[in-house]
Amino acid sequence: MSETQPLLATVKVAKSYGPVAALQEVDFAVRRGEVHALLGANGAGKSTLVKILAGVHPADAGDLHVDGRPMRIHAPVDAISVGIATVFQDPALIPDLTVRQNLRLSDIEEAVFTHWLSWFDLEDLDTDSLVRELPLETLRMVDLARALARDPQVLLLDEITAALTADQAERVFSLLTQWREQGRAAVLITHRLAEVRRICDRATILRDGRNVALFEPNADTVAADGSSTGTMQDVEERELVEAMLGTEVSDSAAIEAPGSHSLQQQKTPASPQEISFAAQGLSSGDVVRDISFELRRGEILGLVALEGQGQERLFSLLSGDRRPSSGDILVGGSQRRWTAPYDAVGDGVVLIPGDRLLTLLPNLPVRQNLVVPLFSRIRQWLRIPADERQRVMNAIDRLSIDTRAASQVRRLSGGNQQKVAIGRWLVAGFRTLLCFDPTRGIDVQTKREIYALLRELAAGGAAILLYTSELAEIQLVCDRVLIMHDGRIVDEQDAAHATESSLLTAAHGLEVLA
Amino acid sequence: MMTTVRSAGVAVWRAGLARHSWSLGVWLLLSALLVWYATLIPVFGQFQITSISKNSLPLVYLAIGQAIIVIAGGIDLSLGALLLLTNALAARFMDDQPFAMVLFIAIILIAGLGVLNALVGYIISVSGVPDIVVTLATGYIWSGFALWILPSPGGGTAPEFRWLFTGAQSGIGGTYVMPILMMMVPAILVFLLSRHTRIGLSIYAIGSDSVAARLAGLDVRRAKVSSYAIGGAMAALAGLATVALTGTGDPRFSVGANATLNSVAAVVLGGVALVGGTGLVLGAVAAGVILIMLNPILSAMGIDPNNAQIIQGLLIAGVMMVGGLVTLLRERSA
Amino acid sequence: MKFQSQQFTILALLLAVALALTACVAVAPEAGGDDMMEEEGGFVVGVSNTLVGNGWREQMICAIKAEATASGLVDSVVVVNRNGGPTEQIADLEGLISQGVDAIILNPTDREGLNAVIESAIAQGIVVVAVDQAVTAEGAYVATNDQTAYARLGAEWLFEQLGGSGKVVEMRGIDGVPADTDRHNGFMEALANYPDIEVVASTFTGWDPSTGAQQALDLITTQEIDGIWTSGIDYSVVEQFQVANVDFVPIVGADNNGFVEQLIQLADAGLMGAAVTNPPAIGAVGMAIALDALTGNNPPHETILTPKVFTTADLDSLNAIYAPDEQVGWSTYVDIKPYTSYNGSADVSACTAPGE
Repeated sequence: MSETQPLLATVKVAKSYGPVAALQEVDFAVRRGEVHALLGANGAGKSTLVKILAGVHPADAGDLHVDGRPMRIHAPVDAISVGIATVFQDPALIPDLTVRQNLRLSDIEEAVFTHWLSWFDLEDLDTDSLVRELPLETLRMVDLARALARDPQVLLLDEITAALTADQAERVFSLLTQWREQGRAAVLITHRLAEVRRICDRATILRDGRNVALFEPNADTVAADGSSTGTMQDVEERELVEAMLGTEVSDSAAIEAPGSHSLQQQKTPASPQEISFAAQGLSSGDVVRDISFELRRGEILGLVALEGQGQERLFSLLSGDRRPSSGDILVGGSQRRWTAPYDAVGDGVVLIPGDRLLTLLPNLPVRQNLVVPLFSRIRQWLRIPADERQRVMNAIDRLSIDTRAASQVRRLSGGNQQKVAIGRWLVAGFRTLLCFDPTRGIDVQTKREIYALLRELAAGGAAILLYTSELAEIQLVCDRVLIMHDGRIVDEQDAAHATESSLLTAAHGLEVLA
Repeated sequence: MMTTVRSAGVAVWRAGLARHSWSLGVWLLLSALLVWYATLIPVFGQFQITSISKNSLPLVYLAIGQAIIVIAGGIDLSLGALLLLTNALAARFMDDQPFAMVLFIAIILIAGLGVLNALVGYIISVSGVPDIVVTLATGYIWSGFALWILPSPGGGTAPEFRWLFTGAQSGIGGTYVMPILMMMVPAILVFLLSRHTRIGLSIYAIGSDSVAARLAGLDVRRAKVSSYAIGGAMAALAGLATVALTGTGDPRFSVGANATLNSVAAVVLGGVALVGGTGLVLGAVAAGVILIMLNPILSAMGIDPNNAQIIQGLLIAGVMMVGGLVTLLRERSA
Repeated sequence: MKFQSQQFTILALLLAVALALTACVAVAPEAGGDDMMEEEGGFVVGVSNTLVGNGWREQMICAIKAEATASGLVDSVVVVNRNGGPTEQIADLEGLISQGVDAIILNPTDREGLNAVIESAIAQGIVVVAVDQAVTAEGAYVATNDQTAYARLGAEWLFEQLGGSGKVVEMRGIDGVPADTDRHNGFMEALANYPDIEVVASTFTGWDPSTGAQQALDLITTQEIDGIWTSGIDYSVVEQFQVANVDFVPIVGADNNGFVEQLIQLADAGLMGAAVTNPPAIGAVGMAIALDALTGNNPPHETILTPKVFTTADLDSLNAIYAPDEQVGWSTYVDIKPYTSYNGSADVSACTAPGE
């Protein structure tokens, strides 16, 4: 086994989606006999890298080497044929076929597959059941067993332990240990830093599409008996978190720069206001569990979570898009039962979703997009409100939406689109605003404008719940912040003292040191 | 030990039955309609069974082809036009030919239209233009070709060829063995192909979740092209059946347009979801026969012919609503 | 387990549909069953038509029903009526055979394609009459309008009116349709005897009144025309003379109610014309022939109706066929003696079969 020859390596791989550079000049190497962690904050480029290695997307530039030989991987089938097997976050199983039929499709011998299934104590699984009817954790094990049955050299595991019980995760770890001993390799993408320390040998950290750090603890420190633990145990979790966050000047500094005190000053004094909106014990399956919070007039309440912790589901519950399996939503102190967002909007609870184009009518002009919510008022079906034009003009002015280039909303920049999404509620009126990552992929100047607007709205008496993936900005905009992990609220911090590090630590489900 | 094995077997059988209950229900509906029709008319015997089975052949073939394409997540609005094209080609070139030559022409047509429609599937797959748009366009093209090949009704085929599909050289009053054989052999072949071969399962896979199929390492394009090839071949078979039924060719556009609509109706009624990935070819077979049977049944019931179409539409809508309701209830309880 | 029980619900529901349908079995024969029995010699007659939404065909079906009622020999008329080709018509005819009808009257879609099913019906003792268009099946009765004569008689009248010389227009129907071909042949036959008649234009109206009107307007305003022969698009052509304020020329049309009305009312204004009959009542003729055959009167197997010509020279006969209560497209010549036994347009228009 040659140390110099990585089993799988990328050289200066780059990938852009439109104008957004997802990966830039990433060098990533996996050796034989190692479990390699691939870490990074949300949007750092982990999943893009995995997709390139798995053949889902081609790289724009750079090379891929397998066992020292340059390889071109155009499709998942190419990756499989050179010995790279991937278990994606969403199992790549056909829902309308049985497990057995899925195996036949992948040309996998059932005996080999059941051998691996039995490793996970699933030998009793009825292979004639439809994939659609099996629970997610079973499917991940089925997907993993299928990947193993392909007898790959490299296993790519994307958040494999996310839906697993502790017991099942344990079995995956012991499998990886054995895997390493056979001289094969595995890449583990995970948010669970404890796992990284326990099982991994090395760790590559991605930030903003670049590889910024490689943790390579001295191999000598491996326990002399060659026990199952990886060498990463000597690395502190906090070191990893710091590497993920980086020390460079972040956007938040830029946002603050122009008028350093403006946002902070706008924050409301700590005088208690009436409760505008509240959740009591909200649950939705296993995705959202027993969530309670209160949202006061004039307050911006932050929400922080890693990817896939149930925040999307929580927002769809709060906005009336989905009914909770238990728990209540209270508006102005009285309990509400909504069947559709229509009802929520009627109660003054409005949503600005993460994907702007979901709510906008991309082929219509700004003005028509702004007045859409007015259409739902029955008495105005036929009559156009007299003050409509005025209200729209006010909203455009207030948001300084650049309407010059655009007869169609889809031609606007992302920032201006987001302003339109907010502006329509300014036109229609609301009391509680639910914002889901409103500044994702938006330039600094517009970000600043949006935050200023949110503060202004709060000062005007609105209650705002703001989920954001940009942790540094919590301190600037929010009054309080809730941290969600695995479907639950695990922590609440005072935004003034919430640092990126304290938030990220809590978001990983770790205890925050005082 | 024995009992556990048997109960496991029963459980599998029951699960399979439950999973394909729609197809089963359509066959039960067909049986019920047959029994009912038998009581509506004075005599029910060989003549009637032959009549129903042979008259169903074109629609059943088209429904099988459409079902495969819909299962793969597509839809083919040109199938009726392909039927027309085959009808025109067959009637023109089979006229006054010996049986061996006629059979040879038939095989060439089935293979040729399979390849032709595979090409359409390839174009759809490469261009990314929606199936419905491409096949709408190609449908007009094939209809035009059909009229060009056979400008007015005419042409013919060999009596033995008519016997093959109708059980009689004159095309009427023959044995029901032939039409039922000609219906069930292709149906069962395509059914087995779709459920028990890799290419068949790939067709289900790309219709069920094409992203997952790609990630699982399947050749999505090949599966798509295959589904269109089968569709084209079945449309050719349907065109041959129309020539065998009438003994002449009839290239009118409306015949093809009607056939396309009926094939979609049969697929929907047969329990193949238009979103793809589910349903059985065999369900569409039964639904095709049901749609053909509706006309004589409604006539025998003395229903005004102008109302027959309304009743046909109500039946399809009613069955689909029952299905939708059940799905809704199931999702709510899950 | 929950899943399974849910899916069994589907099964149960579909079974319920099936059961519900079979439950109807008990009721259905009561509703329409009696006509199976030949009690008072009452016959059941099936009608197969494959062109829906066409006025001429609808009147044909109504004439069949009216004649069935007037004859008193028919218990019920089963109409199978849908758009289709030979494939659909074969299926429809087999359905009628299965219903045990005594006679079938059909307007065939194909001259030869239906022979096998027709012969099979005859072999089972069913009388089959093809109306309007012929079939070559052995043993079948055929009743048609003579399309060649239709054109020849009309054209001869026109050429005589013009004194054997002049410029005429031939306004045909749809290219390639047998009836149009036959009529064109008849027109040419007549033309052969009048060497000084010049055909200055020949158009295809598609048997569509608005198309014909447009063509007529273009012709009469741009050319010197002495007479017009039409394949049935007549009243809208006459209207164009009024629109363009051009003097009438002799015109040949069909027995359309609107045209007959014009011939009567505009005679004083100088309109000369001939209405040549192409009666949809050929259906009633077919019914009469079927009943003759059923009652053992051995009618001839081929009946070809020679068209009648009603001209402005005989306004009384025009008045006799004019039906003021009907639409412009109504074919006024409904009483075809000795075949029909109903009484005029009113009976046909009522469109009631026995038991309706």
